[in-house]
Amino acid sequence: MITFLVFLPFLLGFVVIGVYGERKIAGFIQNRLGPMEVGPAGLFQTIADLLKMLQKEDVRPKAVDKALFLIAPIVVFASIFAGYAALPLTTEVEGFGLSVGVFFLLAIVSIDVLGVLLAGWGSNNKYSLYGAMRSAAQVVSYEIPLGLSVLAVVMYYQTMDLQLISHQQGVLSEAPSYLFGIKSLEVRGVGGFLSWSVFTMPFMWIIFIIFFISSLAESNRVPFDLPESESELIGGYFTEYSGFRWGLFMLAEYAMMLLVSFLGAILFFGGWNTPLPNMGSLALADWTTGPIWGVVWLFGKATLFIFLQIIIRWTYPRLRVDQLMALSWKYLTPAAILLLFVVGIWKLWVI
Amino acid sequence: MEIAISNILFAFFSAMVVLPIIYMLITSNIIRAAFALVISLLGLAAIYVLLNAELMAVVQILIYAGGIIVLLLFGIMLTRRISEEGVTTEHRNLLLSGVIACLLMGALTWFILESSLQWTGDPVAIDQVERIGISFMTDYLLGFELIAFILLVALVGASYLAKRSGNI
Repeated sequence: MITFLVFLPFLLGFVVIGVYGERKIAGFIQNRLGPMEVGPAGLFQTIADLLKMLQKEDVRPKAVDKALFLIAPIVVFASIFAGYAALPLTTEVEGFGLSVGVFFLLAIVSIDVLGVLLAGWGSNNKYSLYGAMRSAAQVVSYEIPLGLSVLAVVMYYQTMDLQLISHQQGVLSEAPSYLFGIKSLEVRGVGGFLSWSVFTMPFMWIIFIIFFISSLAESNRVPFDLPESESELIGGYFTEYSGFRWGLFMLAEYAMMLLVSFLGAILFFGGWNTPLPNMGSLALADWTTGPIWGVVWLFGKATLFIFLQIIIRWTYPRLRVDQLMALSWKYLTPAAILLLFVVGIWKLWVI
Repeated sequence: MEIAISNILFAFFSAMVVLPIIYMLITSNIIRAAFALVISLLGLAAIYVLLNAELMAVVQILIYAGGIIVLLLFGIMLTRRISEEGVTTEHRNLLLSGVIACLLMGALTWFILESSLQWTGDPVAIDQVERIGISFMTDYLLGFELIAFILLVALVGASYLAKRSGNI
């Protein structure tokens, strides 16, 4: 229920603001102004674009496989949005509360490849099909380092429930936790950023980098946006789509960005936990932990990761296909397996 | 009342399992058939959830709907020429396969009804992931290790084949 009441409105609002933010940041990085004509500082540009998109004609080319063509955008968006069901929102409100939380999230999100393939095939267009094939190959390859990095965190916290993972990274945790794993630096009850997983276990930084790179690839973002590279494939798998159906693909891309940002924030940076530690009588962590604060921190952290993704998009060029595959299979996957091993040893002997 | 709701859900998801399979048998378009199979597999996952086997449901989604079907679609799309009109199949040996299917269904029904399988209580109370993990590493260790070994052999074989046919 909270998925529909909280995440759906937030997602829709986020897309409007996110597109505007992306344009402004792009303008800033490339030393130009970005949108500035519509409304104050171009604030209404995205809304104008949205209105234009919604009243656009829904073009269906004659040669498409109609059923597959029509259902594909729905499959893509629905499968990604289903992933939100597993996210814990705050200290009191968890997701669907099953013990398989993060596993479910990864599984259901992997269905979106299917929608992409259907879109590419149904469009009956070479560019679309090539885009879909590239996307499927890329997503399937990068699911492995992504899954392994998530597995490392799951192994560290011994649970797949995202609420319990968040719980163990904060001031509310019962289990003993140490800063950088050093026994003399006990941080239980101190909370704040000191008890996040990246600070209690230094190798988490490397795991987070692997997670972040593969999550960029999963959401088809630059530098991994080969499936939709406009200079070679026109628009990739959604070349033939227009109007609202195209909008659904766009929405799904932003939903995926937001979902992996939430997931990264929960797994590595404490989820709904506050970044402010308790310092003696100045109990900042106790004051800033609670249902309302949880939402603030979680959404704040996710927004920071989105910002990072946007900066990366406008900074790096696109990878070549062989480089893309080499990065996943030759570097990220072995590194992730090695780190999984390190986490296992850490869990057995260091802590 | 609650039983009635879960019964309705069960009926709905059962239809979701069976109807796409029937469509899959009738249609001659392979891509559509594969997609129908996905719907059916997702329905099966939903039934697992209704029976409180959450881990099983997620594994079902991940391996079958997310993995094998994507592989299947990928295979179809790679083997056929891309500009071809559509990938189609035809119906052969209708009578024989029908008889075999009926026999198989009869045999399965008979075995399930005759077997001493029983409802083992409320599975919600146990942490399924932990239980399954522990039994993998204790009671079923040999099978678990054998499967891991066979998968490794398959991986090595696949990479060998890929290396011989490609240009390294």
